[in-house]
Amino acid sequence: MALILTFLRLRLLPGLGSAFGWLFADWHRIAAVIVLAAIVAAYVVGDQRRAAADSAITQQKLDAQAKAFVTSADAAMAAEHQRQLQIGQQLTDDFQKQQAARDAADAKTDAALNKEIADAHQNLAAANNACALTDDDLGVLRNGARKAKP
Amino acid sequence: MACCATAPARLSPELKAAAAEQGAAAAGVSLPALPKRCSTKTPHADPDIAGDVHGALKLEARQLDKANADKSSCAGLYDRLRAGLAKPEASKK
Repeated sequence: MALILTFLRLRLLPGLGSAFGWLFADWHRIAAVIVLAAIVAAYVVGDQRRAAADSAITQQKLDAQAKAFVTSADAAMAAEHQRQLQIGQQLTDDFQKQQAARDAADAKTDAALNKEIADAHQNLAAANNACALTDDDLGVLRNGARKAKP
Repeated sequence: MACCATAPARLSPELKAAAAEQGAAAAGVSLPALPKRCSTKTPHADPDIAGDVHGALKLEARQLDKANADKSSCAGLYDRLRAGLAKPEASKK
């Protein structure tokens, strides 16, 4: 360790010192160093600005995509809602039409059935009347029965 | 940058599909009102018209036929409604 420190102190530091001494010994070299440093600084700052601009553009694209997504989802929701309403309305209309047609057919069937029942009543009443005995008929029958007694 | 902020963003097919799925889910289910016929009770036969037992039986059978026809119509309406409201992509799967 001591050996390494001794080496640095004796070899490296004097070397660096002489290099700096050489660099700053002349105004031209100083100006070159300053210009080089300015170029490096400008590049670093420009790179940062470029990264920030790229980030802003990316953010804008993401925002626009999010907005488009929401718009698309809203449109899909409205379309689905409308589709369901149309289906419900169409089926209800069809149902009402079918019921109206069936009601008309039912009315005819009911009328026929009622007439059939009414006719049956009428026929039954006629048959009962045909078979009914009058008081005179009963009197004749009773008298006949008395006479027939031994 | 001004051009990009105002231009409409184009969604990828996956995002479009996801947006459609989300919209359809958010729409829920909108059922139409149940037709009045489906909740109306079928009345018994009118005994004054029936007259006797035989006529009453015939008229009651007729009313039962009507009630069954209503039942079938309402069940058919429900089936068609359920099939119609099913998601198109769900019915494909």
